[in-house]
Amino acid sequence: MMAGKKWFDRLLAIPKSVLYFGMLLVVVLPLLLNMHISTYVTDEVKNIYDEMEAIYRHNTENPGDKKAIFIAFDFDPATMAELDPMAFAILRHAFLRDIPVLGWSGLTTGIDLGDTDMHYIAKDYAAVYGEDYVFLGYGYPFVQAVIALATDVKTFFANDKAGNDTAELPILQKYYNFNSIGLVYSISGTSYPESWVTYANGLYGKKVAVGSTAVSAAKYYPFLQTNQMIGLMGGLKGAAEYEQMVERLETELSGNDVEGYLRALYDGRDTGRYESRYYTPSFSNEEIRLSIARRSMARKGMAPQATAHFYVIILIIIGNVAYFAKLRESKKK
Amino acid sequence: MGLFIWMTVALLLTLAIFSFLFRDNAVYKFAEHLFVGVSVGYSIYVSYTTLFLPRVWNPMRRALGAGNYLLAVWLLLGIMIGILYFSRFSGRHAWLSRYPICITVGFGTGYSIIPSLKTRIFLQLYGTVVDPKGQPLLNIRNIGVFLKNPSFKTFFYDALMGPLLVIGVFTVIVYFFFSLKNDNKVVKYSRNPALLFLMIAFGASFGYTFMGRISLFVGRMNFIFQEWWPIFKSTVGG
Repeated sequence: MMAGKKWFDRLLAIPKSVLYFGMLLVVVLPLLLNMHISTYVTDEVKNIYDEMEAIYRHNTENPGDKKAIFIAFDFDPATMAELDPMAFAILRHAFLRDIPVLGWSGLTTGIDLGDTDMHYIAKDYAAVYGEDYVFLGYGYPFVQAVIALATDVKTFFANDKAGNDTAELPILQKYYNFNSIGLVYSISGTSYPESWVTYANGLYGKKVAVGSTAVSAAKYYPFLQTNQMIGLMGGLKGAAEYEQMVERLETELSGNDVEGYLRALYDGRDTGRYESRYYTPSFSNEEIRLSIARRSMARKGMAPQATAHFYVIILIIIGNVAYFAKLRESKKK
Repeated sequence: MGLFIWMTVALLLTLAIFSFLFRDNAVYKFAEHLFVGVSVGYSIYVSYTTLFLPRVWNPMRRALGAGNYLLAVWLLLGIMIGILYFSRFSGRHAWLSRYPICITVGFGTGYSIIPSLKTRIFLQLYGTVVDPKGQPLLNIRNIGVFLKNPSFKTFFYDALMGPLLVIGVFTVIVYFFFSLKNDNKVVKYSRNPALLFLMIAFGASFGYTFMGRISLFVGRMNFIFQEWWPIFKSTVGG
């Protein structure tokens, strides 16, 4: 049956399962070979980094008037592959620079993700829950929650996610509304970033940065052009750029030996300050392996991205060549 | 061991979802229904424990205990209005659900109308004719700067970008407003450029979409080979 077929017919009839298997190979092989890709840094990602550094300088120069950052973890497991690396990178930057972090999630399915992400990264820098960071829980209904953030967020959240009385948490005595928040960072695969721009920026003039899935990124560029968003991390590429800059900063501050740094982190510290319901102040070998892996999650993902893109470009070229060859042949007939 | 078991469940469910690539099957259906069921159940639980209990029920009990009956009645009033949503289940009483809807929509619209106008219309209009530095986007002087100092930056970013943006917005608006047959020359000759701008925009969007989909696949493969596999090795290998 196949013997009578021309080469272009065979190419146009490649079974879907073969193409999928090819995709599996081009994605899995770079992961197994542990390939890393360094990426160039775009202005929209650099702007977020610069804003964080500006907050750090402000906090250093004005210790009595420090600014915190607010992170909205508005994403769920369906988009965590893209958005978790962004959350990790920005949290890492904040804890490295001792910038207090407040967070909540606007999605029910994002509450545990946001909470867990904060504890994971806080542990890497010995940040204390309730003093250096807090996760408030479910920021819903959105508009009412934002209004509370403009006045006193404690009125909306009587308790945080862990059940603590927010009136007693030291971090919320200083940082409880937009006046003490230097940057709002919305991480989302939904339209929440637009709402943050509308209310936090449009109504209260706060600087808003966005980490979005690649699918949504294109629609946020008009907000960047008008400075309604100060920066944008789009998809895994944006996360990889930020991750790279934070790694450079971390190497500058703590050196190259991440494993040694983690093993020695809690030596000589008063471990009574760290409650085990948030995290235990010590690292097992498995935790160290995961912590090191989390530092390059996005860049590791960029290698399969590159190979998958090449694979699809080659398929498009093959498909087009075969299609036009067939067209030519049928015109000849 | 507990972690390994749960991670293996996650692995099997991932494979079950990917099995759809070959054909629709019972394993895929099971995973799909499980996902929807767990998501809904989880959302109900979270809404109950993080919204209803701490914001309504517990404050009301505290208010009653402290003799603050006015606050308790106020909270009860909120519950009663909220319960009216359930009147949708009864054909005769469905009209009652309009009351909570009126309050929610009325508040939402009233509160968002000004910031939405500012954010999505006025500032976007401004951004279409003025660049972030406050210079007009249709700035003829930038062409002069390019001619004096020809480079990629002065050509592409300074001289070309602004006019392209303005022309793009203008032609696309004309394309959508006058999509019926029209012999007007502006409408006629702006169609092809408008289509070109639209195709570029859709292309950029699709490029990002492809990257997003691959990221999700990479995420699952990363889970299997970088998280599950080392734990499997250490568990099975003792």
